[in-house]
Amino acid sequence: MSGWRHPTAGHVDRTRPVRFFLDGRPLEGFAGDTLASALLASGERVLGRSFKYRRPRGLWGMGGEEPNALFDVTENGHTTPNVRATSLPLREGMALRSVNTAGGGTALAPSLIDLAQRFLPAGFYYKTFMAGGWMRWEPMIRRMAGLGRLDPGTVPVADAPAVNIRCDVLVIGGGPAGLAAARAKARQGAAVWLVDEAPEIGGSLRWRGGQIEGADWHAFQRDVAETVASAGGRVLPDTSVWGAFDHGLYAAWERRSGHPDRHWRLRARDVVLATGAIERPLWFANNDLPGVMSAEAALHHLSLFGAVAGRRVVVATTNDSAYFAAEALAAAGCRVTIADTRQNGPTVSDGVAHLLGASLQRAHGSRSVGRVTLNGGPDGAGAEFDADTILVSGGWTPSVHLHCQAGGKLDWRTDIDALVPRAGTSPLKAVGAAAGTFGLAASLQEGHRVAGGDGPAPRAEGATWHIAPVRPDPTLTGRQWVDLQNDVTVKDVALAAREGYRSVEHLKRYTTLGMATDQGRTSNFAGLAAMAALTGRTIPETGTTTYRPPFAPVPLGVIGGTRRGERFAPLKRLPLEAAHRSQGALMREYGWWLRPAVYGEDGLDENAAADDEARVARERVGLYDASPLGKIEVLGPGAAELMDFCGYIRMSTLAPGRARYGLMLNETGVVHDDGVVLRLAEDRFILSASSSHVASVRLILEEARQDRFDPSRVVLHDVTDGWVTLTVTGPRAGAVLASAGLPEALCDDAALPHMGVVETRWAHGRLRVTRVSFTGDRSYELSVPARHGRALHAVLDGAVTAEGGRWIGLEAVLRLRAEKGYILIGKDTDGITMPHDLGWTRPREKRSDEFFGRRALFTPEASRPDRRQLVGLSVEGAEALPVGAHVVPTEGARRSLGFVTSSGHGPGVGRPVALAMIEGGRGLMGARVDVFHLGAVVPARIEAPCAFDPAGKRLHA
Amino acid sequence: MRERRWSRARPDPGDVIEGTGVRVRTLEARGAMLISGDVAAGVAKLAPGSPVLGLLGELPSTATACLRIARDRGLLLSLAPLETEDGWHGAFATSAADDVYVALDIRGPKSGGLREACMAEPPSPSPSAAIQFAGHTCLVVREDRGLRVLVPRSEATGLWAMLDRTVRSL
Repeated sequence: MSGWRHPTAGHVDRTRPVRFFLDGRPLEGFAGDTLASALLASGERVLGRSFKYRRPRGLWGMGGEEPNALFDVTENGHTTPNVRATSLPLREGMALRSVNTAGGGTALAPSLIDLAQRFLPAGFYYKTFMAGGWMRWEPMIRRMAGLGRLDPGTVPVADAPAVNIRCDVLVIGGGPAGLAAARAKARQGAAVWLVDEAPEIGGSLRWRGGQIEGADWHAFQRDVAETVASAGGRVLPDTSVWGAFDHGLYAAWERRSGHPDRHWRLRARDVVLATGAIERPLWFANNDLPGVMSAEAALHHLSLFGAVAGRRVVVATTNDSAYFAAEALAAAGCRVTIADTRQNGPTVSDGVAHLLGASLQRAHGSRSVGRVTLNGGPDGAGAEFDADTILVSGGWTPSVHLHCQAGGKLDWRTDIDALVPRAGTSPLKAVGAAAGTFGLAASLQEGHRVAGGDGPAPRAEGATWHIAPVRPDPTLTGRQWVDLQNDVTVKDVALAAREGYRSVEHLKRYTTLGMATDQGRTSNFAGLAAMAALTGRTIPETGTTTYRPPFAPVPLGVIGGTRRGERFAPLKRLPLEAAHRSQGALMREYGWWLRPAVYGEDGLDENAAADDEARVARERVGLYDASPLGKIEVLGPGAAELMDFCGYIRMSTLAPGRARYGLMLNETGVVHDDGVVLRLAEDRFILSASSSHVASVRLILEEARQDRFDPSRVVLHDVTDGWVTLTVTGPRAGAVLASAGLPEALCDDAALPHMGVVETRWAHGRLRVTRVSFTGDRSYELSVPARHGRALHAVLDGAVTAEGGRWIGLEAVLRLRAEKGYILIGKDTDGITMPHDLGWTRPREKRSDEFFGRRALFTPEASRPDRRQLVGLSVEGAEALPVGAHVVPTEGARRSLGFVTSSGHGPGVGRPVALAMIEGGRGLMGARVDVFHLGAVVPARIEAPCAFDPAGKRLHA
Repeated sequence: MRERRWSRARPDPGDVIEGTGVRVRTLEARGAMLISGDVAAGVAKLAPGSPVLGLLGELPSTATACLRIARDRGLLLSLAPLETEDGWHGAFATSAADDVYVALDIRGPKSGGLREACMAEPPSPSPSAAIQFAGHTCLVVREDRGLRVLVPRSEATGLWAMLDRTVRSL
């Protein structure tokens, strides 16, 4: 026998049948059902298979604690994996695919894996599959690994909006205590947001009912909603607060029908935690069989949906709460037997069998419960009963997750056998069952009191529940499941204890206890209690694992919101992007900027195009967009001092009107960035940081400015985004400037020598020109305010074309700089490269003043002679070396001396060039080495990094 | 080698995002100048009487105003570029920033929803107009019952795409 639909109970709409499918079989429920209630009322017992042993599993719970009833749900062609049946409303045409199965949960024969369970204890894979190489086993294990399957054809729409909200009070949970707290706060005029994961506020009142303030609870519910709204607050149903984060941020997922789900980021002055408690299971042999479920869940499904768990019901309990469920099921027509572990319990109605001092020993059945064995009671040990359903209540575990995520501590309360939030250890104030207060009247009073409510608390009847402790019994015969979702048994916990994994954190990782998508809601306490018993410790001594968000599984689409594709990590854009595109630029990301890679038609050979662009630039002239180069102005009488401290190379000795190349280190002496510093006045510098390091360089400067210097004497302005910089480079660069209608003085080498800078004006206003080169040829960087970029583009475009030149992309620039030996930080350096590794030794040896990173340059590690140093590599033949290839000795044992960092065809030297970082490289000039890559070896010779124009004559040509 | 085909840079001058109850448009570039150091002294010298505004401060549409960015830094907005020379001026420094930011105007009965989607406002009025707006560090003030958002020019395309998507979801 299995579940059935009561003819009158519940609030489903019996006039509106809803058809759905379970593993291809048609079923029917009613509008207003959840998937869980519809399945229960349809008589479906086996809803899936377990994760590890593939045992049949049925419905257990009523909310986020549900460990078994997970489905891949297809609706309107869109498949969502691993949906909890307890949390999804039933809709027409839904197709459910049970998890951990092939062909459906009900279709399988007894699992072979389960038959072999003796050989598959906890951690067996750690021990077993090391033999023969993990890689051999991994594909098989991955195929078997459980839960649902992603549908590659489903691309969720990136449409979940995110909303930031600040309110006076956030009440998490709309049960009795939450309602009382919300109303008390709202009556004081506070803007209260009352958030509950159910479609309606009321919590357990929804299925338990009750009288509050002399009237049906619905009147109290309406009063709370109206009071909250009138004070400027809001009631937010169908919303799960899934995480508590730093600085008082709470994240919530709102499920909406007919609209995209919504992600809330809530911040509140006060937060009330009224998340209730979760009913614990009981531990007996075969306690995972379909037909074993939470007593409170059975009551929930009956009261709200008319879905009855079974016909012949045993209610096994340790406390008073399950009696309500037992009475309700008896009233619904079930044959009910209460088996209470205590010697005393509440009185029961006629027709309900009542066994005191009785505990469950075993459930019998292959695919579902058929009989039970009790220990104790009037029939003594070993009494067996026919039963198709076992409802269990092993006590209550307060939902303290959010309290702990917010840094809160827990206290052990013996009287309720539970860990409860320690007041004052987190910003949340726990009330009701979340604080270990059980019973309607007590919860209402506590909610009202903690919220500072004026006047008397809402009145209600109902005694506080009495709860007796119960623990897993490791001596009991048969397998007792502790974690239903991850298939962890009491024996697994005992094995972990025997093997020394006595810490709960080790227990968790060794057995996977509590690591499933239910976050151990029904299992953590049992594992903890079993470990405490096995190791002779108390539960507080044993401790708990760490609580981390999310409290409940949240679709990534909700967290990601609309940030998909280009919106995920948007790149910075050039002011002249449209102009570059109109000239055929193929755009690519370089250090968070979208920049022209090469110019040409779609489908061109990019390597060949870049080679050609570089050749033209070497032979004639090239023009490229260098706008992303940093423009951090350092201003004030303390500017030179700050520049000296933050730079490896002193800048205070730089004359106004001149530029100097420099390096910036981090505090460990590693090269963080390089760039050119322009000095425009005694108290004004512009630091031209490399494109991708502008923000971090500014932060290093800012930190030093504020922490080490007088911030009133030196300030920073990052104006990078306000300027367009175009660079003219090549032997005809001077001629381009002369013909472009720019001020004549720019063409005068005396007025503007190499490494000189001038600020002047042209037809459109301000113009700054710097003679610096990243290519090895005479170069001019021309910068104008962005609004005049188009005009500069037009002027230079015509002049460059007239000189036989062209636009060049970044790929060509990178070729030009590589043969010149100019480095790119992050490409030719790594996280251990220091300036002396690059050949910049003098400041380290000569500077006596303090500078950022200096002390780290003299550690034993920094002074090792075999540090990797920057060198060049030459090869015979036309093939460039692969970047990343290892440089190895030509003789002796093959080991890596270093690696190739940059490589390509040198347009000036007409052969492949490469840069590399090699152990003690500068002492190996002329030495022959091999370059090893993917099994192939290419001979090479170590040379100076600069392969082209080492004397630098072309800079002045 | 081509990782992604990126859509073209936006917004162009005059671009508009029209949604139900909300409208976003670009504003014509005017004048802006970064002032650091003694901001009050700088404002007094360059634009006497101009207000110094924090987050959601009311921007006068026909006069200059300074948007505070940090304790000792502000952005002086003017109707046209100022001709003040960049550099140190005794107690404060200036740098022309006329083109550093792109200004957007957001208004309409649903603009509040867009505001909530894009930024988390501090519990008390912030003296700084700088805030994370849809993931970008922007300056945000009010202007004539609308919202003016100044986004760094290089990030304007990213913000525009985000606003375009968000407006459609309101």
